[in-house]
Amino acid sequence: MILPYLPILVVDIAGSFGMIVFALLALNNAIKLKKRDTDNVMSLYLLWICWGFTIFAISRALGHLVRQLMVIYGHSDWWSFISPYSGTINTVSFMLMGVLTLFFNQNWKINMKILESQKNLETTNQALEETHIELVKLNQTLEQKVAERTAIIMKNINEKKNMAQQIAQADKLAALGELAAGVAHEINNPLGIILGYTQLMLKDKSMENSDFYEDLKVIEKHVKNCKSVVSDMLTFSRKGSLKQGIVNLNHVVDDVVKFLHNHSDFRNIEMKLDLYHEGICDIGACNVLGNEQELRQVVINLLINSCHAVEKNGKINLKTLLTDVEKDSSQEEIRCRDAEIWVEDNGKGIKPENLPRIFDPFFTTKPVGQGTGLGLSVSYGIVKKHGGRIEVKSKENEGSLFRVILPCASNIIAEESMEKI
Amino acid sequence: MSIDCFLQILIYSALTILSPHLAYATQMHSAAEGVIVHQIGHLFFLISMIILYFTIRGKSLDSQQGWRLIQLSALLFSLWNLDALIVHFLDNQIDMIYLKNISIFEAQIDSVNNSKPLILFYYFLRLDHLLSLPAMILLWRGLSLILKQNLANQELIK
Repeated sequence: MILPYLPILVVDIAGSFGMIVFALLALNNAIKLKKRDTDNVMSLYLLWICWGFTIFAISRALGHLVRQLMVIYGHSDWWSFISPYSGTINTVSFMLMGVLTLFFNQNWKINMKILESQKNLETTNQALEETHIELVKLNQTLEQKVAERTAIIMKNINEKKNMAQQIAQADKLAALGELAAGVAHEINNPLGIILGYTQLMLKDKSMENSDFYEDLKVIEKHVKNCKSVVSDMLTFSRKGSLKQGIVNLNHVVDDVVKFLHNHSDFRNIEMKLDLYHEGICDIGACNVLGNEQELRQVVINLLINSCHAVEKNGKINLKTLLTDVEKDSSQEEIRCRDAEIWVEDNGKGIKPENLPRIFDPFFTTKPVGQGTGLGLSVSYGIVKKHGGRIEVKSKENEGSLFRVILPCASNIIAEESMEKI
Repeated sequence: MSIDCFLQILIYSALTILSPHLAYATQMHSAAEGVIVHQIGHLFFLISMIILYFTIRGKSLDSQQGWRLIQLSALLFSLWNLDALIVHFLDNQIDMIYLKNISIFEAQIDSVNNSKPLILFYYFLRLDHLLSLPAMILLWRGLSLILKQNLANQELIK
């Protein structure tokens, strides 16, 4: 059968040229890829594949081109000599391609492992970098932190020193108190003798018209004053009994105010007293259950603090009041929920940062020697023991208000009766 | 391996290679062994291209356009190998078909059983570059796209 040979010839020649051209172009791309991505094993693999295809394409294409040229120019015998070599090279190139292709899977696995290792390495590097930065930061702040800790330790040491000093001061004051009590006791006797003899002389009718009568009166008055001062000192220095009983708050406040009026610190301070319905309190409404000595101590502590806060020429207001007052039908028995003592001053107030600490033992803002830091702490303990509480309101440079709130005796007695029922 | 040993292997290989018989047509091979080896080469190439096709699919690389074109290239190369296998089988192994060039414009193609369909089938199989050239073009194009993607990825990292 005779068929046109030209299509075979054209396709063969054009195809051969095309194979060489595109094989070389593919090889060029593979080389570029390898250069860009040197760490990627698949890039290397694709380069090998392309080399294989290039060798195959060139060997086969050249073989076909040479063959066609030989046949066209009538040198078929030359082709007979060359063709085995061409065919052999083609066969080798097929084998090469086959072998290379079969390594695809292995290369892929290796590449995946490399990429995973790379990723792990990057993560480790990042972690190392972060740790390094943290270490550098810590190193830089180490000195600062050491300084801060040292400052804290020094502060604690200083606080301890201060506390020790204040304890020593408190001991000193306690000793001084005892000494003062001793001295007062010793003075009391001579005073008693002086008063006695003075009064004896005043009783003598013959002295009534004498020139010395008025003088004796003056002596009596001032000796009585001295005795009153000494008596109050002895009263307060006495270790009070621990006996619990009914205590009238108005009396407590009144006694304290009278006692402190004689104190030099209170001379220039205006103390205003506002006692709750004296008549009602006298029939027991303002009574609380507790120790009178201790409650007196609380009021004294509060007043001394107020005195120091107002300094000279200040004002202190004292007040007693009852809450939830109930009268029974006969109006004879009055019950209340709480009895309160208010101590208010117009002094320098308490700083907000110090407010939570005022009831801490040994906490004081006064210089050493001017206060033990125990007054409010002791008062707090006493009030707590009595079932009450102390509340404070203070504003810097405006003054403070201390409220001692104690449960009324009538309320406690009523509750106990209810429990018994 | 010593140099002497290597030289001996080279000499013996050359002697073997340098004594072929004459062959004609597509790519005639000297003796049956040459044809068989060549056919095995084609078969090996064909199988490896099929394996490559399925390996690319198995790794889900065909989701990327570049690799998809390389996969198609492998498919066309496997078809080309099949084409070449059949041509060599017909005209070189079992001598079923004879091609004789009359001129550059005409050729006489005869078959042993005078089967026209077979002759026409052989004729079209001889246009094997219609398979191999597109395969090579697809390989080149696939690599171009992979390179482009790689450039784009590197730009993104920067």
